Amino acid sequence: MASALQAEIALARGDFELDLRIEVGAGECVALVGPSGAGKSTALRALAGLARPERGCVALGSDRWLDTQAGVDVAVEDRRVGYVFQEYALFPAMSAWRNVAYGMRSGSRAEQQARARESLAGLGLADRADSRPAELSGGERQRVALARALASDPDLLLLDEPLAALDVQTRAGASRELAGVLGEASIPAVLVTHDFAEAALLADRIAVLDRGRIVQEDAPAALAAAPRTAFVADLTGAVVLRGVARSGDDGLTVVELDGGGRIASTDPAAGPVAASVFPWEIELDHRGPATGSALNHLPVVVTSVTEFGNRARVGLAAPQPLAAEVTSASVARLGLVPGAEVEASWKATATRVTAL
Amino acid sequence: MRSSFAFRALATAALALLLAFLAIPLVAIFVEAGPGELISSLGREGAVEALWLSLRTSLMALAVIVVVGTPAAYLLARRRFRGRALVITLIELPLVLPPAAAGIALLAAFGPNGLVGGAIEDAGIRLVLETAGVVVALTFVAAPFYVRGAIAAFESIDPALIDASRTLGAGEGRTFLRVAIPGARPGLGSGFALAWGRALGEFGATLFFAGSLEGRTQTAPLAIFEFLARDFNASLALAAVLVVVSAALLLSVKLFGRSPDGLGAAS
Repeated sequence: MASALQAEIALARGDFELDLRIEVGAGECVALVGPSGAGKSTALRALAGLARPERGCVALGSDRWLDTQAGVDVAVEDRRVGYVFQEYALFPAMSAWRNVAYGMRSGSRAEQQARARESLAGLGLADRADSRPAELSGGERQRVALARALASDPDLLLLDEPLAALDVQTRAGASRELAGVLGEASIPAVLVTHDFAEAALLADRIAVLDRGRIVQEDAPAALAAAPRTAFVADLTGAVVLRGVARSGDDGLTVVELDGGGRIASTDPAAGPVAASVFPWEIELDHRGPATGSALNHLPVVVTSVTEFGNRARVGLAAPQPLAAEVTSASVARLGLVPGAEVEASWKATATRVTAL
Repeated sequence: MRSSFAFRALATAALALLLAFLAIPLVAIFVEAGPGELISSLGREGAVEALWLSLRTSLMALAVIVVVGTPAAYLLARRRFRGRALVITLIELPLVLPPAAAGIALLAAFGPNGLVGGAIEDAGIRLVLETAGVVVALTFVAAPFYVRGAIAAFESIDPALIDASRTLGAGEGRTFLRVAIPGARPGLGSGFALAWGRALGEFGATLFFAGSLEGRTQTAPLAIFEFLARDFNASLALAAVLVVVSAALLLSVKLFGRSPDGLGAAS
């Protein structure tokens, strides 16, 4: 039976202090997002037991891995974590299947090999099982690392920038596949990334980390709609909308958004996609006949208005949630309050489309 | 243009001089006496025994060095602690220690009246003028060559590989055996070859500590010296064998360093 992760970690290294509390339910994926140096990887290492917090506790259900007050500190090898490292850390002298079988804790050699090959086949790597890491492409390595982390039958899955080492073309496919694996997993997962869009696609919940502390934690859309600070607002970056793309007339790509609505982009794409647009590219206006050069118009309802400094993030409910960033002056002029019905517009040229 | 040509000519001449100076003595060993003469001289009493003793004692020393030095080097490569630099300097000291000083130091430590000599004697172990003493002397002078290479080899392993092994349920011991050693293999191999070469050539420390008793402590380098006055050809023959063996070891260092499968410590 999978159990939830509960962790409190306080750790100091020189000037840097990490102090966070995190809870992840079974089957849930929480992303720690923040700029480099925010302490994301250190947090992950502390959960795995690779870094030792000064104070804190880490527990999976009733299983206590760390409790500094009670003097409990279970060794890394006894914690049952599946860890996907940033550059994958595959053992270079071992074939793919041996890498996967390395962490298996039960069964005979032959059974382990069969299971390793099976799990590789499940990720489309049946014919690469005997290859060494150096002979594999980046995407293949990432899948081997994922298979290896899961093969040890872990109670907690930890992923450190699992897509950062991949090139842009490979990343879309790998991200879709990873989302599939995370969706099926019944154990808690903690993902670390500096890319908000990636976190929004993969995680159920996002915890924004800044200089060792969680500054805000929420569902991806809610976070983009109502950032508590300018730091979070800048970090959340683009709003992501899912849909299906096809090429339209006039050479543009048309994306039929899941749940309704249609937008255009200058990026070529077909099939399931993620369309993204920065909140500061979105213009809000009273509903009415379209004027100007923006091609994309969605009727939206304001759900929240969060002001920071001279600007405000406006949470919007279209079929899919999105957010616009406008000046405080515009908030007053347009009467933007929760419940207000307005229209969101932005240009096709400001719409990035990536295949899923 | 002219000056750069002149410089190149000078540099080429310097290289030629260096090569000639280094190569002529080596060539001379093989030219001074014909191959037939060399081989028959090896049959001289004591020559083959000396070679055999060198082989045995150096391999025994290497076995000790590898068994003790490998985990010690791993610890030094993985851990950062106060005094680590001092420990490494101590380990490296025999590299620069004059062999005669090393021999005297060994006598002062393990000799009959030495610092710990009494305890060793009480345990029933005799070192001075014994084959075991040769092994001690070789271990002392050769160990740093291996340990230095091993530390560098372990340091070059991606720490994430060690972490990955631990998260996959392998304890420190299993990680050391299954991940660290395979990863460090090229560096360990070349360290081994260098240490072996040093042990085979050892002269001073062995002479001072273990003496030069034929059949018991007289290794090949000591035999070369011993034969010099009486039978120059026998000296030459032994020297020729050592040159060939040393060249083979150096070659193996280069081969290990290349790590042909591209999966060396650096990857």
